[in-house]
Amino acid sequence: MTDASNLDPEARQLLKVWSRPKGWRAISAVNNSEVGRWYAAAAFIFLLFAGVLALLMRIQLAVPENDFVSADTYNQLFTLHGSIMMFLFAVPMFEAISIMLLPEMLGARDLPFPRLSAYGFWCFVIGGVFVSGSIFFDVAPRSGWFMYPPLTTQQSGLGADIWLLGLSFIEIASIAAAVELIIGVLKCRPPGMRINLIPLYAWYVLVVGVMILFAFPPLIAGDLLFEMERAFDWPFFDVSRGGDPLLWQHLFWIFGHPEVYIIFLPTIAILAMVIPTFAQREIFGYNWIVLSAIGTGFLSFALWVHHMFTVGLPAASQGYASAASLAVAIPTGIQLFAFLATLLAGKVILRLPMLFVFGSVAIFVLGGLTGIMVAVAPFDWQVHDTYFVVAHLHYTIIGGMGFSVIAGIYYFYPAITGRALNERWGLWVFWLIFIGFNITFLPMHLTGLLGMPRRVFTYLPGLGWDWLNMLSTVGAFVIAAGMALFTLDLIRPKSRHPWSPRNPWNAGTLEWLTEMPGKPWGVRSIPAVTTRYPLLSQPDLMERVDSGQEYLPDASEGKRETLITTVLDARPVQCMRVGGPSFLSLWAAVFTGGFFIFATFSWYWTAFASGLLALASILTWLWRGTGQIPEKERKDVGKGLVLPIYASGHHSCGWWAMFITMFADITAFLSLIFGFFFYWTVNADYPFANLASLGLIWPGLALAGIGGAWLLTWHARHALDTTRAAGQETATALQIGIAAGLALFGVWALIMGPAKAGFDPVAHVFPAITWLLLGWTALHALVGVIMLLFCIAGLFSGRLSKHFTADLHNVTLYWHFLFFTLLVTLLTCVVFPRLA
Amino acid sequence: MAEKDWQPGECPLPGCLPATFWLLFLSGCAGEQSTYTAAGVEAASTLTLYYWLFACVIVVWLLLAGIFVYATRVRPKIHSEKGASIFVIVGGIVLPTLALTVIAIVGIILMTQHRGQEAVRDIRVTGEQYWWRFEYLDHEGKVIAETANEFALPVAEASRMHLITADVIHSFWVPALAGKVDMIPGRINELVLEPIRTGRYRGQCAEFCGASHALMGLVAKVKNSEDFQRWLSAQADDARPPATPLSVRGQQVFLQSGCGACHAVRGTPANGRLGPDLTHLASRDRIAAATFANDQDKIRRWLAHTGQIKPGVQMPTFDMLSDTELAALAAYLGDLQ
Repeated sequence: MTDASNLDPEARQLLKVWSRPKGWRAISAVNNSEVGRWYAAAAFIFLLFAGVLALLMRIQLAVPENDFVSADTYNQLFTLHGSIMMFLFAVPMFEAISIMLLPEMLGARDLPFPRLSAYGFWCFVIGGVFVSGSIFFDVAPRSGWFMYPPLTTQQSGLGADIWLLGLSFIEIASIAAAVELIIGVLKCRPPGMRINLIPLYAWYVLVVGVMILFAFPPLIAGDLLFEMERAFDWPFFDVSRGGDPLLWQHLFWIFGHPEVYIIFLPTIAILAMVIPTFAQREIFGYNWIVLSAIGTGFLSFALWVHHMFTVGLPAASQGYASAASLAVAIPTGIQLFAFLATLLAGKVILRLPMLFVFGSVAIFVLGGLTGIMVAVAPFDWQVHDTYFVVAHLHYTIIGGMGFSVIAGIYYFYPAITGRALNERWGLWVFWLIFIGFNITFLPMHLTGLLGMPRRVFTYLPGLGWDWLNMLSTVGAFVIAAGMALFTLDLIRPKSRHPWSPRNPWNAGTLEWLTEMPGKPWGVRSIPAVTTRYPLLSQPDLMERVDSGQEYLPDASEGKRETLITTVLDARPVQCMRVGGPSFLSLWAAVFTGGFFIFATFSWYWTAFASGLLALASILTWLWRGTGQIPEKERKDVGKGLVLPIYASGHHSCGWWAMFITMFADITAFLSLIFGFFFYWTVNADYPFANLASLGLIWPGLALAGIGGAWLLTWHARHALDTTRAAGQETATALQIGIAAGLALFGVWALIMGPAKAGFDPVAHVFPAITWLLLGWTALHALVGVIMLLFCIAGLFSGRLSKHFTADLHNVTLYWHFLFFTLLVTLLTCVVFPRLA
Repeated sequence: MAEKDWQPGECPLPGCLPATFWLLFLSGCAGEQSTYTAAGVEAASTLTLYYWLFACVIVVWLLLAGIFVYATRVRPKIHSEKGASIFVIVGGIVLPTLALTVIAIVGIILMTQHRGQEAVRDIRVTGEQYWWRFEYLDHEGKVIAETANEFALPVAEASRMHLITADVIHSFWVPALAGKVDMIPGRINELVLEPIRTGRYRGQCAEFCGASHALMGLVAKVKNSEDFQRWLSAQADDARPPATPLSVRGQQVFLQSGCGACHAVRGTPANGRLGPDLTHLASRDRIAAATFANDQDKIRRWLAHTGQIKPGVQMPTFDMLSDTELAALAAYLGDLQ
């Protein structure tokens, strides 16, 4: 794409290594810039689609007793509108922007697991098209994005299954992206960029990434319970058999409320990048902002009950949730005040992105303030599930997210594409959306106070709602006009427009090192960083980077490489090789998609086969693309620094990825455990002695088998690390082989327990949850066995040996978590019923 | 079909707030389903709470937006770091903490006041897709009278609603009287209603409950004590026998068409429990869960187009009946005073 002829040989080689695949192979690209751009484009298309659904709803509601669409269609419209905006736009858009920009902000060449990003992207597209497309076949989910049972558990048709399986699939992709981004922030920084120097955007990515790890798994656990009830009649939410629909509400909102902040914080992060640039000074109160962001993240997990003020919970829970909901306004306010202080203490230049920042602040603040109103339980009892809340949530999300994302697009567009968007059109875009937004949503506060509930496909005339609804409909079309203009500016061909000047806004952070147009290598060489705004305060930085005088200016071995640094003080410790273009991620996503999509139609054998193919693709990808044995141990990365190429244990990114992923996994597991004890509190009269019939023998054998496998794996890893004797690999393979056998025996014993005791999961919720927990553990143990077999293969092929132990370190880490899972499962299902 | 015969509520505005704050929202005062109507103790106190919160919101919003405009448009001289620190500490931490503490305390006090009060009467309300069953209970919990979709309350007396569901989650809400409370399988929730003004107030299901969630309305009639007692004893009575030849014919159609399998008309062989009790249907202002005015025309239309009017409704459409049968049936139902 760029003229390589005037580059020196070193740069030409670097360009060749990082160049994008051509032609139809372009879809095998995995580099963060390509995947990030596709990701953002796909999320944007889903936004437009959900926007069209909203317009259809507004047409239906323009006048009372309208019959533009049927009740059933309307219910599909609002369900999909909410679900798409939440799961296919808001969260993916954050991940897309972060995948695109985070490495650039950190001067990294790529994220640590580019193929994982690509896998996440393809999962997102496949799942998203599946869920969205369902409306064209009149089978879309139709009971709200919150899917409350028993309405949804009893509903016939595919809609609910499409929601549960399609979105679970996407949630898994979101978690994959979160793992990638967290490690990106922690390990892929330029030398010298200590944790207190990282761009605020990276801090927010870190906070939000961790929130995703703890927020999405409870929903995935809920989805699992839900789909087991729908598909196999396990009575998790059926009151007549000990279940409770409120468990779903708890799990859903433990996810749902942090979700709001998962959407909101990253866009605050965009403001934190835009504001200092236009205030022409560094951000004011960096530490306060970071602490407030972390505080918001923590508090957001304590508020979910405020979505349930009307379900009749005890006054104490309501009071607590109310106070916590008010308290979260404080860290949010600190962030906002720090931004205002930055503006006050700086010399502001007004450019288009700042106009959108104003829109964002003006609208979000009102949404936040009405949020304070609804946090007061008695007021919420009136407006809960009315148009007041519809207004409130759109003020927070469109204000907090919509406007700041558009501000970010105008601001970062030159860094991403090399060309600027049209500022004159931008003014029109702003005023159309801003005015349209307020015409649509400001009256809705009043509509709600006048008694109009949400999620109604029509309403009766004469209740005072007619003109307000007409106004909202008109406003919605004004927003649509603004969005159409914006979209047009984004997609119109710009090849005749001039390239943007480099660093057009005179910003201070590393993403503005990019050349116009950008080169696929990210940066020519990776600079050492000593300040928060290196482009402004480190003279000659750009020249030194461009002329390859900084770190890692070459790719002389023909491999894609990036620097890995330590978590706190960013000391370079590894020159890591990352994956290049590959179709494996795409295939793995297609087959994973097949598993979920076939399961939706209850074609379980096809789903199973697709799952096996997904497993095969993932194993191939791991085998051929990760933990490769380098041809030399160390590499000179410039400026006299020599770094190892291979790392294992907690020095390697793979180990961190396993650690973080398992946190998410354990969160999902603990959500199921929470379910068990929740059922215990609502079934006071259940004879727990029934559960004791599981006995001690089978669980004991399971403990011995899986526990033994765990100890043996741990020992094998330790021995491989420490023994100097030659031929240790064979002994290790033998130990791991025995461990795998023990584990299989343990899995068998785990299943035999409830099978022999005759637990019927359809009869009552306790046998059902017992089966589920034991099954969950058994499935994890089977995955552990596959990992052990992978290690044995590695030992025989040489990819795993005394010198290269990463695989076994990661697998042992997995087994630590697995043993914890087993222990908690047995304590809950075997020991607890005997004590209770 | 809209009848504008509700009693427009007055806005009990606290006189100490400047009028400008609610000027915009004054139109909200009238409306039989409006929270501004505030005809119940809880709704009135919540309305006062709302005005205070609303005033705070406007003040804070104007302040913050003003600061933003000042910083970006007026472009003042550069403020000092120290000034900025004070600004963040006072504006971002101290003031919000104080204000939010007050709001939290007020909220919690109001919350405890409005839940768990004493009441003199018990009414069991069952949410069903897509209508409401009301049962007035005596002190032993025995049903005195049953009605559907339209119920009465005495003014200035506290009545306890026991809220349950027959199927999925619903939410009971009469905005003019009090906030909403959900009806959840396996649970009995309570809500005390204490009206302060007589009149007719509309309510509606507030938790999405399926295809026709939008059409699950109800009417609360607040009467003075004597009127209420008269109403209640009338509701407890059996149905009057049909008076005209047409309505006698209508009763035959009713029984022959199997209506009695789902609907009860007390004092006749019709004793179904699945659908609304129709014993005193004609005493109600509206039909089809407060959707239509209760007249012959609407009843006929409802019977002949049930599923079309209310998607997902359990009642079958009786379009197989001839026009004369429909007219007779409507006449019979119109006679059930």
